[in-house]
Order: sequence, then C-alpha cells, then structure tokens
Amino acid sequence: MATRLRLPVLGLLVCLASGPALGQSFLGTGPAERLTVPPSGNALRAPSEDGASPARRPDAAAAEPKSTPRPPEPPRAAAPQTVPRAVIQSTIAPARRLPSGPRGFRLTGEEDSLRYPVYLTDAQTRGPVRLRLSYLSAISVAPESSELAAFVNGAKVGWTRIQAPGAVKVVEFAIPDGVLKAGFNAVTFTASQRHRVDCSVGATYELWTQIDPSRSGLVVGTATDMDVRSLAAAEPDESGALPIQVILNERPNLARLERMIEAAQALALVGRVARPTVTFGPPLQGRNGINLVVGTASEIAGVEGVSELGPITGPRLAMLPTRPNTPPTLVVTGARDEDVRQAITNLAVPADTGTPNGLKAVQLFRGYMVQGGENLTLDRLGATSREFSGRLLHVGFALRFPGDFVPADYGKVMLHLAGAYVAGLSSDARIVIDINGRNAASVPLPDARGEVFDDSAIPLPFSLWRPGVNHVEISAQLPNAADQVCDTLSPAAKQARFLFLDRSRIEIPHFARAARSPDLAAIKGGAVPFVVPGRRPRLVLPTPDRDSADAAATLAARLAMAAERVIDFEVVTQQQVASDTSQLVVAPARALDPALLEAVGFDPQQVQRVWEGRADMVATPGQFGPEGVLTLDRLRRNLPMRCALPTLIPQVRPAQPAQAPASQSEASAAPAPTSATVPATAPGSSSDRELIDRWEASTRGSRQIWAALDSVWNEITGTARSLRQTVTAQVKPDETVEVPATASLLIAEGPPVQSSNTVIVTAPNASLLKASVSCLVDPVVWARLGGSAAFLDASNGTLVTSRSERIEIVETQPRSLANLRLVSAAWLSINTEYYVGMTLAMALCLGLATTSLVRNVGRKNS
Amino acid sequence: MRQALRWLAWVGATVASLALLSQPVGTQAQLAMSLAAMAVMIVLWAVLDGPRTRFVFMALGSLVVLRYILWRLTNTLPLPGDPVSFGFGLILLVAELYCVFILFVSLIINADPLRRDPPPAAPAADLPTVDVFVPSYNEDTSILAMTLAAARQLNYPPDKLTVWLLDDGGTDQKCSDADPAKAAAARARRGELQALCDELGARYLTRARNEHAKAGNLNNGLAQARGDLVAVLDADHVPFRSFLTETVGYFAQDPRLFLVQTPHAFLNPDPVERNLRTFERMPSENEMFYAVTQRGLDKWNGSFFCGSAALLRRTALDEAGGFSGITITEDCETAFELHSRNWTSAYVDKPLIAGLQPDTLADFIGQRSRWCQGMFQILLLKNPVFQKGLKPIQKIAYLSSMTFWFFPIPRLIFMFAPLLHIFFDLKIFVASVDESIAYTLTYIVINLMIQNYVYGKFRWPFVSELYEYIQGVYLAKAIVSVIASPRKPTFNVTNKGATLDHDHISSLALPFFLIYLLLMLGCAVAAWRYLYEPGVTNLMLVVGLWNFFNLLTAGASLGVCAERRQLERTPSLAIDRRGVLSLSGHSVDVAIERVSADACTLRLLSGALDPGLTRPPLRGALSVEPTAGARRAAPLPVHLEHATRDGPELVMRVNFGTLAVRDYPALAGLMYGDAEAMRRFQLRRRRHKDIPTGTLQFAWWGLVEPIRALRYLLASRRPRPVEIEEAPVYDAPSAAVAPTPSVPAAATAGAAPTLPTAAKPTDVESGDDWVRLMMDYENERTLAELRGRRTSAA
Repeated sequence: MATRLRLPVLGLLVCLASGPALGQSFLGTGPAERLTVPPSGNALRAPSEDGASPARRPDAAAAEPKSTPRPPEPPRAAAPQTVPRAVIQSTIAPARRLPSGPRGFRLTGEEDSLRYPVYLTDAQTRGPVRLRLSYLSAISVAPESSELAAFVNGAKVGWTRIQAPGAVKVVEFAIPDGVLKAGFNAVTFTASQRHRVDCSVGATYELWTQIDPSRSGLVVGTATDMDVRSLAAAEPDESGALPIQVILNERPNLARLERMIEAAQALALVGRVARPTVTFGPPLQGRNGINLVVGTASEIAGVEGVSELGPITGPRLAMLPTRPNTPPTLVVTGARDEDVRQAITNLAVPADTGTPNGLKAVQLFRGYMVQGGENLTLDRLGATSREFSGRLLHVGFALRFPGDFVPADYGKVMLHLAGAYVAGLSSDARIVIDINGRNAASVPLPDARGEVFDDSAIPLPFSLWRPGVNHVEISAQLPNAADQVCDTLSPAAKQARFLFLDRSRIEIPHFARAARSPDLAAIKGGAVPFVVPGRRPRLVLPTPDRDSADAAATLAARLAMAAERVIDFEVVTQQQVASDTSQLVVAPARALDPALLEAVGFDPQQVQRVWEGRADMVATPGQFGPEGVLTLDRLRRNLPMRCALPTLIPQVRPAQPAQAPASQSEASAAPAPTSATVPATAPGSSSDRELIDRWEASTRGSRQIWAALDSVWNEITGTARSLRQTVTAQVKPDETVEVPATASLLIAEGPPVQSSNTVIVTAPNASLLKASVSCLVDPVVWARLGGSAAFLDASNGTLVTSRSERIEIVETQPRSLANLRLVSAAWLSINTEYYVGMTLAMALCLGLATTSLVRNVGRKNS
Repeated sequence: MRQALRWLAWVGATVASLALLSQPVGTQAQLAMSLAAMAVMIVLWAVLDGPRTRFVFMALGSLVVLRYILWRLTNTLPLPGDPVSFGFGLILLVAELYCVFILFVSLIINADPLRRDPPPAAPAADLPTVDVFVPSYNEDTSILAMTLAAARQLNYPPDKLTVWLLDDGGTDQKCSDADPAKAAAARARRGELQALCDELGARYLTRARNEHAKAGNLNNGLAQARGDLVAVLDADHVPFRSFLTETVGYFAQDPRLFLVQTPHAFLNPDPVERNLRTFERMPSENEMFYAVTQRGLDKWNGSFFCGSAALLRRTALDEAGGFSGITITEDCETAFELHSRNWTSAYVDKPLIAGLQPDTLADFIGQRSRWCQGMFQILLLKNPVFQKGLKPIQKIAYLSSMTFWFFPIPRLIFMFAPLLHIFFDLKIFVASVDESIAYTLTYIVINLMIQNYVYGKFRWPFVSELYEYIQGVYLAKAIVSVIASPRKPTFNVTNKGATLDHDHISSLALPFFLIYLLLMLGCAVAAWRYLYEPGVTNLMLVVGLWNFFNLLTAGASLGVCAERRQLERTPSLAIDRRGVLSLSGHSVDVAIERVSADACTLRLLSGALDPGLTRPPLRGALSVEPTAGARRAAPLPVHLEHATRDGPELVMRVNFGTLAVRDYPALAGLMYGDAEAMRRFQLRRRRHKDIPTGTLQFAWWGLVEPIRALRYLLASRRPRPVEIEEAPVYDAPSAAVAPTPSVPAAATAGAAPTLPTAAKPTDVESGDDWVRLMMDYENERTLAELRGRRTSAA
C-alpha cells in the first residue's frame, strides 16, 4: 500500500523528532496531535501526499500499522508497493486488533484490568506471536510505581512501566508458544497506577491509561484458513468494530435487502462482536472486517470469485478463497430465496471453541447474562482475589439483564462481600457500590482495628439496574493517615490495605420479565418489541439511500446482538403512524412523516427547525469522515472512537468541477448520498425517488396477512390502557419533547399502540444518520441508551435521554404466576398511586365484608 | 345461602387483599401506602363512627400489619451463613410473629363485643335455688365477715339462698398439723369461723384433707350443697346486693347455660397502680380483659370462668364431675371442659362484686405466675386445638387466652434485642433506614393506633408493655418451669390485704435495677458510638431509640418496684347513699360519699349541726337509708375522726372502730348495697387516653420514677424507726354516746381541751384552729343562707 511505502522514512523522522527519551513513541510530537486514521479518501490522495508535509507525517505513521478499513484498492498504487512491503512488515507487522466492548479501552484508577476475547484460527496461532500494546497515560501516573501487565489466557506475557503521558507508546510482548489456541483467547491488561504526588482518594481518579485500539492487538498473520465455522476470526477495525461489507453487485430489491440485513445480523451474532458496522458496497480491502455476499445463485452471479464455488443447488455457506490484502468473503446463497434463508439460519449458530480463559472472556465481554434466580461468585464474573495497597480499589464486573427486565423497586440484588481491611484506615474509609455510574450503596469500614468480613450483605435495589449491560463497580476507599504525608517511596506505601476475595457473591433473585414501553433500554438490552412472537417487525426505510441503509443494517445487526438472534425484519418503505406491528423507522428527518414524529412525542416543526441548518449538508469525504478520528486529545478524553462527525459542506446537486476529484475517488468508497447506491454497476444512475418507487413497488407485493389472533389478555389490557389514557390525558396533556440543538441523532420510541411499538431513528441528513448510528452502536454509548427518547451528539458520544411520564408494561414471557406477581409488583411500585388506591379499596371491601359477616355469625348484638 | 355469600365475600376480600399485599412493591410505594392508610384511619377515627367504620379501620390497620410481617418474613432475616445473627434474628422474628398472631387473634375475638340486655325478672317462686360458695384458705376473719355478710344480704329470696364458707384453712389435716402451733392456729380458725358463720347465717364447711386445692374445696361444697346454681365468690370478693338479680335470669333463658361470669372489680390498686399513682385515673389492668375481651369472647360463646364472681349451673358441673382440678387454674379448665361438652356461657359486663388485688409486687407476681402456669398447663395437658366438641372459634378463643401468657418471652426479647447491636454489632434485622421507616415505623404507629382504637378507653398507650415487662422478668422462669414439667406447679393462694406501712423497695427489685443499669449502659454506648465512632450509621440511631424506649419501660418499672406506703388501711369505695348520723343526740341527714371497711366520709346535707358536736372523737351512730327493697339494717357505730369544710358544706370522716360481727350486715349493706357505685368508679377512669398524651405520660414515668426508686433505695439503707401512720383509735366509753342536747357552742369549744386530742397527734389542725374553723363555718353558712333566701325571694 501507498502508506506502507512511506513508513520507514516516517518512523525515522519521528524517532529523531521525539528524541531518545521517547524512543519508543511513534506519535505525539509535531505540530498536530492528530492521529488520524485516514478514511478511505485519504488513500486516494496518496499521490499528493508523497511530498508529505511535516504535519501529516505522524498521522500517516499512526495510521500505518494496520491497513485502513476500506480503501478501495487503487490499482495504480499496487505496483510500486511490492518491494518495500517486506521491509515494513519486518519492522511493524499489522496486528489482529482487539474488539471494542462496553468498557472501552481505558484502565482507570489505581488498579484496573481490561479483558478482550480474541478469536484466532489455527494458522494464526502457529509461529511466533507477539502482543502489541499501544497506550497513552495520564500525566499524573508515576512511572516508577505504575505498571501495565499483559496476560494471554491467564499467562503473564510481559509488563511495562506506564510512561506515556505525551504520546502513544507502543510495546510488544512475545507470547510463548502454546499459549494461544485456535478459537477464543483471552487478552488481559492490568494496570497498577500510582499518583506522582497526591495520595488522596480523589487523586486516583486522575489516573488512567488509555489503550489505543488502532495500534494494539496480536501480531499474527491473517486468517488464511478461515472457514464458515471460524467466522469469529474476522478482524475488527481500528476502533474495535467489525466491519461487515455487504457486497452489492446489482440493484437491490427489498426481499434481497431483507436477506442481506438478516445475513449481516447472523454474521454479527456468529462473530460475537459487541460492535458491528454494516455497509453496503464493493468488497473491502485490507485485513479487517468481512465481505458478505448474499443472494440466490443468480443474484450473486456477478460477484468476483463466486463462480469458483461451483453449481449452487441448495442452501450454501461458503468462504471464497482468501486473496492477499482482502478480508475474507462469506457467501450466503442458495438456489432459491428459501435456500438463502436456510443458509442464514445455518449461519446463526455460533460454535464456541477456544481456551477456557478465552471462552470465559467471551461470556464476560458483553456482561454476564443473568436470567434471575442466580447466585454467582464474583470469580465467575471475572473478578480475582487480591491484596491491594492503594487507596481506592475498584472491582468491576458487568451483568447483562434481559431486555424485558423491569427495573423498579420491587426487589434487590444482594451483594455478599468477602474480604478484609487492615487497621488504621481513616474514619471515612468505605466501600461504595456504583451501578452504571450511579451510587447504589455505601458501607463504612468502621473497625479501627481492621476486620475480616465474610459476608457483608449489601442490597442493590432492582430500580438501579437496567435491561442490557450493567456495570457494577465495587470501590473500596481506603485512605489512611500516611496519605497525608504521601511518601510514595516509603515501604509503607506497598503495604496492603484491603483484601478482596473473589468468593464474594452476588445473588440475583427472580425479577419481573416484561417490556417497559416506551423504554429504549428494553430495545438496547434485548430488542424487545422486535422479537415478540407473532407478526414480523418492520424496518421502515422511507429513503433507502445507501447511508440510510447502512445505518439501518448496522442498527439491525446491533439489535440482533441484543436479542441474541436474527430479527426477522420486513423491510418496507411506507411509513405508518399507527402500525399493527412494531416498526423501526430509520430515515433522515426530512424524509419522516411529520405525523410519525408527533406520534413519538415530538413537534415536527421543532425538529425541522433545529436541524434545518444541517439538513442540506453532506459530509466531506476525507480524514474527518464518519469513520472517526483518532487524536491524542480524543484518546485523552476517552471519546468513543467512532463518535466523530464528518465535516459538513453544503450539498451540491450536480457534479461540479470542485467536487470532481472527490467524487471520482469516492464513487465506491465514501458515503455519498448523491451517488449511486450500487456504484459498481450503476454509478449515478438511480436517484432517491426512483429507488423509493421501486422499493415501494416491491414491498407491496410482499405484504403479508397478519394473523389476527389476539389474546383475551391483550384485549383487556388494551381496554384498560385506553381507559387509563383517557383518564390521564385529562390530567396531564402529553408534552412534546424538544430536540437539543447539539443532537446529531434522535432515537425515540412512541407509546405502544395495540402492543406494537414505533421506534424512530433519525438525523438531520443521511450522512449524519450513518455517522451517528455508527457512534450509537459503540458499546460504551449503546449501554447508556434508555428512556423514551435519546439524543446523541455523535461528535463526542454524549447521550441525553428523556423519560416518558407514562410507561406501559407489555407482556413478553409465557404467562406464569410467579412472573405475573413480579410484574404486577413492579407495576405497582412504579404506579404508587394505584397501589395505594387498591390497598385502600381492598381495606374498604374487607371492612364491609367483615361487618356483614360478623353481624351474622356468633351471638347477635342487641 | 346468604350466609354462604357473606362468607364468600369475606374470603374473597381477604384473599384479594393478601394477594395484593404479597406484592413485593418498593419502599416508596410501601411508605405511601402506610401513610395513606394512616391518614384514612385518622379521618375515620375522627369523623365517622359505627360498626362499619370500625371494621374498615381495623381492615386498614390489618393490611399494613400484614404487609409489614410479610416483608419481615421475606426480606429482613440475616443470612444463615452468619449463624449467630441468623439465630438471634430468627428469635426476634418469632417474637414479632407472636405479637402479630396475638394481635390478629384478638382482633378476631374482639370483632364485635357483645352487649347483653339485663335478664328478664322472674317471680320469686320461679327462681332457682342458689348456693353461694366462699372458698377460703387463710383470709382474715374480717374479710370473710364482710363477704359472708354481703352474700347473705344479696337481693334474693332468703329461702333459696344458702351461703357456704368453704374453709380450707381449718381442715382436719390442718388441725392435726405436725407443727403444734400451726395445728392450734387452724383449730382456732375453725372455731372462730364457725362462730362467724353462725352469727351471719352462713354455713361453715371444711373437709378432711386439702386435696386438689380450690377445685377440691369447691367440689366438697358441691357434695354438700343442693342448690340449682352455684355462685363462687373468692373470700375477698364481696358481692353487691344486685349480684344475683343481674345474673340468675340468664339461666332461665338458656337451658344449656352453665356459666354467667361477671367482672372482677377491685377496690384497691395493684402495685403498678399504687406506685405510679394511677388508680384514680387509669383503668385497671384487668378492665381490658373484662370490658372488652370477655365481651368479645361472649359473642363466640367463649367467655370463661374466672374463678370467682360467677354463677354456674349445678347440673352442668355434675355432668363434668365437678370443678376440674388437674391444673392450677381450675376455673378456665372447668369452663373449657363444659364448653367442649356443648354447654354455653354468658358474660355480664357489670361489676357486681368488689375484690382486692395483691398489694405488694411480690404477691402480684405470685398471682400472675399461677395464672400463667395454669394456662400453660391447660395448653400443654388439654390443648384446645385437639379438644373435641369445641367449635373452631372457641378453639381460637381458648388458644388466645392461653398463648397470651407467652408474652414474657417476646417482651424480654424486645428488651434485650437492641443490646445485641449496640454491644456486639450483630445485625439481626436486615433493613435499610428507609425500609425501617416505611415498614417498621409505620407498623409500630399503626399497631399503636389499632390498640388505642380498640382498647383506648381501657388501656393507656404502652401500659401493656409495662405490665408485660414487670411480669415478664419473673414469669419467664415460671414458663420455663411449667413447660419442663407441666404437672408440677401447685396452687398458691394469693396473699391479699398485706399492709405497706412505709415506702420501700420491693424485694423483687434487684433484676429490675440490673436490667435498668444494663439498658442505661446500652443507651450510653449507643450514643457514644453514634456520635464518635466512625462508620456507625443511622442504624445505630434507630437501635438506640429502641433501646431508649426500653429504658423508659424499665424506668417506669423501677417506679413499680418502689413500693409506696399504703395510705388507706382498707380500700374505700365512692358511694352515693343517704343516711342519718346521730351524734351526741343530734340527728342530721348526711350523704355518705365514700366508705371502706374501716371508715366512711360523710357530707352534711342540711340543717345546722351544732358545731360542738363535730368535735372528734365523738361517738355516734350512722343509720343508713337502705337501697330499694332492702331491709333497714341496724345503725353502725361510728367515731368522728375529723371534719373539714368544703365550701358551704361540712365533710366529716367517721370510722367504725372495731366492728362486731353483728355490725357487718349493716356495713355490707352500706358499702355493697349499690353496684352502681363500683360502675361509676370504673367509668370515671375510662376516659380515652390518646397516643400523644399517653406517650408523654409514659415517658414521664420512665424518666422520673427511677429517681424515686433510687431515693427509696438510699433511704432503705439507713435504719429508721417505723413510722406509725395512724394512731390507734380511742374508743371512748359508751357513756359518751349519751345524748348531750343543746350544749352551747362556746361551751363545747371550751370543753374541747378536756378531751384527749392528743390521741390524734398527726392531725393537721390544732384545737384552736378547729374552734375558729367551726365559728367561721357557722358564720358563713348563716350568711349563705341569708343570701340564698334573698336570691330566691328575688
């Protein structure tokens, strides 16, 4: 590649510039702290960059170690590359990156650890393997007493002093033979950090080490032996997301689009990644991601390499033979549509192989799934017993609740801590439990003589938990008198203050299983409205341009991960205000039916006004494109990698000279609303309108007759609900929600109508929609989703949620007395006034019944 | 059919309520519910009245209590992993469950206390014959004389009434006791009582051996007597004249009726009432039982025999083989046997006897130990649950009366439980402060409200706790011993009429002082830990407050241990009778306001009494206006003790001196002629005591009484002369009674010093004052009369 060609020069330059002290640093010096991973456009400008302005050199270097995710292979650059590549690879080989998870890439506080499951094929485990770690650390971290250690499958492979306050530092550790196995392996980083000068508890919050995901990973070869059973070996991109490129070779039709989205979902499930990015377009290049070819034999006939599969007679899953510098390509095909469906079904069966540590890492990566009625020791949740000598110990773990978990104050999770603390802690020493960043409990460590406790029970009410991933952090604040002096070199600083035992337990009683609606948490945690049995949910794409389709497919894949199964979306283009089935509407704001916006509680005019300025803009192709930017500043601020907005420029309708070079290059790569959806076949041939017309036409035919079986329960609840709505409507008129000006995306769920929900995902324009969805599905952002509406500022991943006044509870489970009781308890806990009213009414009935009974039994009072 | 519907409605409402309550709703919802229930209860209480309101009120309270106990059962137990906390937590939980059980059982039993109409009057010829049994063991002759005299004067055809003194103190066994002194005393007693009976017209009966205690004694009486009905009166339970007229009629109404029980009303305070000075203000402890519970039981045909002040049908007793004597509470056992033989009982809520309570704390505890042990004996030996023939509600009724006596154990658990946390940091009740407020605090308040609503007129707030604690300290031991060997306890006759001539600390006080000190230490430690120990949370505050409440209880009980001296040698009763006092030949109409076995208080009604005649200690005679239908009794000999002026009227206190046996009928007629007197006295005390003032009163005792107890304790260390409270009465020669007509006032005043005024050295008024007082009195009275005439003329 063009960039690799320049690497030795750049590396040398950087080394010289940074001086011997920062010998290992590749980055961070120079005028710009921009560590841009150039998006596709960058590569195309390669020729002009040969003259390499000093400002850009570090950027290029930074981008180098891994190839960029989807630059189309520019044929002209290929030739000069061949010779230098070998040289470069001996210096810096590309790494198999780490997937992004709900915890992100930051190690914080005095002790922390991060664990990633990494799937390797058999071939990748052979030969010398190294673990590369790039990190940036806080200035407060004292190098002499802080260290970062790396473990692979539980075996320590190396450690380093933490010393990268100014620039990303890269270290590599050799992994001994035999440590890695085919399948899932666990890569764990632990950091022990101490402050340079301040020994207060508060100062520990200044300590962090940020792993740069784009430059970290296992230095292994590409998975040349990947097959349909080892799809998890597909490699994440520099942000930790798994790019899934659905290859389009002809005009889409809605049925096929459905198939494609289903296949993308299935692939996301098989890959067990927390973060998929689905795009439609030509095949990816480089080693990241996976190309996906979906369609009947005839539909995919034109795709390169498919012909090698031979005749296709039935459901078929196949990998195309790997070729250099291309990610693996999966073909999901069959003779007919049903065969393709069958093939997708066959795909969505994840088979787990790997080391025990690796499998555990998989299980824990997105949070340990709980179903209620569990009693788990914390070692099963990834915590380890340890002695701790600092002043603020964090022990964190994640529990994933089902999407239909009802959070309300009707029960509590009990945490049973076991551990010990030493004598001489300050009086304000305590253990604080946070759930999702909110304080849940605080337990003092009162005994001045220290104490060994075996079962300190701490209640964590259900109201604090959410559907989906919940991060629980046990923080032991352990200040003592020595902290005042803060002699970091004294031997006393190394004395243990706290002992945490991993036999501490967490006891999760049975909880209510029912969907709260509207509640985005239920959607992010389990895609609840879209998986209720019965009618197929709809994915509404009013303007099926490629950006919108990308956004919709990415969301669908993410929802599939939440639901842990493929969601059978029916893709349509018509918007219905009151649908008879749950629908997910993905479209730019302008394309939305205003009535639909109103139905989910927004004032269409207000939405229009707020986003007016951005509606007509398009994204500039280039380094600040929707794929994200990587700068030291963003690393320091721990911003989700993909949460960066493209620079917007006013949209230009016809191709103009100024735009020409860009459009020429981005024809296949950059998101371009104006350009054709299927660039390879029909560049610029179809307008949005045409597409809509065509898709609409195909949808009409695929309409189904819905089974009209409504249970008695639904009728009763429906009546009760409408009754109550009439009552409450008089009391409190529905207020519309204002969209904040900074929002680049709004996701909102309307009140349920006939137990079907409408979820709209919209943004000022299609490119912002795609960029913002890309940010939304970042596990860190996704985990925060909740309320009835959420507004995302995708430039930094800030999520603002708004809560609905009225929350319905919708049945999701087979009816059982135990669940009914819990659900009604939850409902009564939320609707206190009903509980009070019912109790008083009950007392009245009981009192009157008793009066009439007592008067007529026993001796009568004269 | 309609009844089935009512049952269906009730069961439906109950099940629905339980289903709603079993919802594990959140703390906020619970708090809202409890507060709303509380608010509605207060509104109901203040605004509405009537049976519906009552039941809705109780249903509201019950729901909150049920919710609490469900939560308590499911959410608050410590983990079994910590066996010490778990064990203690379980004990505390069981104690609370017991309290809730008792609460609900009492709500069922007292659902609708029965009000009975008086029985129809029957012609004298149709009345059944009645034997009045007065079992005695060691009571004084004077006590027996009064009881027998009053029994003889009952308003009943004399030929159908036989009064029996069943003396167990003069049995052959006692008379031939190995100890010659005891044998002599028994023989003397037998002779004396025989003479007493002869004079009063009663029949003396004793037996060979003291077998089966009181039950055996009564059965001996049954063997001799032939009446249709048997009235049982304890030796100190003096019947009012209307005792039989108010009760006998019920037997004609219901042929299966075996028992008519009437309340035990008392003339003297028990140790708690005396030492906390509540006798005049606060209803007696047993009034809650007699005025509510027995009436409640009566609705369910479950009122039972309480050993005295009751009439029983002889045929029923014969069927059951007489009074049962397996246990030491023969009364309840007898009723229990007869109820299970399908006999019925009735209860008349009208005090028709006046009795004595044990005076000293030791006697009181002794009496309660007997009741407690006896009830446990029945529970253990004849468990009502398994007794055939009882209806379910009767089983519940008996079960409640018996399990009630478990109270010492939970009470002591509640007293000591907070110390476990204060001293040892045990967490035996797992709940956050929020939950404690939402559940426990509201439960406590609502529980208090229910108790106060149902029993408010009869029981001041927290007084139950005080009684329970005082008894609990000693009864706990009794319970353990009876459970260990149910047949062991023996009948101990309660000592009554003991004299308390000076303030002192009860001999039983030691454990109370020790517990008080322990709780005080607990409070101090709790306060210190809360204020100064790091990491001690609000939980300590909550537990500390609980302990402080216990400290108040223990403090009040110290007051009970500090026995005040008895001011009256014999208890008196406020009556409202008329009579004629003859003094020095003058006869004046008097209202008799208060009478005891020793003395009475008179108010001069009209006419000038020659002032000279009011000089004590003149002797005279009091001739009492008989109650309707009664014979006029012989005048009572009286001595003037002193007289005081009360506004325009003169109030005199006269004593009876040493009464001869023949005078007892007159005295009994005076004191026990009108049962309304007792009723008025009780009603006067039955004013509703609301929770705030009751709480303040209780706190006051808790704070102040320990100081008094300490004072007594310190005083008892110093040897001191026995203070003679009342000087011996000088019985002037009978010649002094001779009328001395028209003695001029001045002359009387002059003659005064010649009389032995020294006999009353403790009198507050000197002789001179007395004279001046009389002069003033006369002047004022004259003036008042003049004024009166003028106003009436105008």
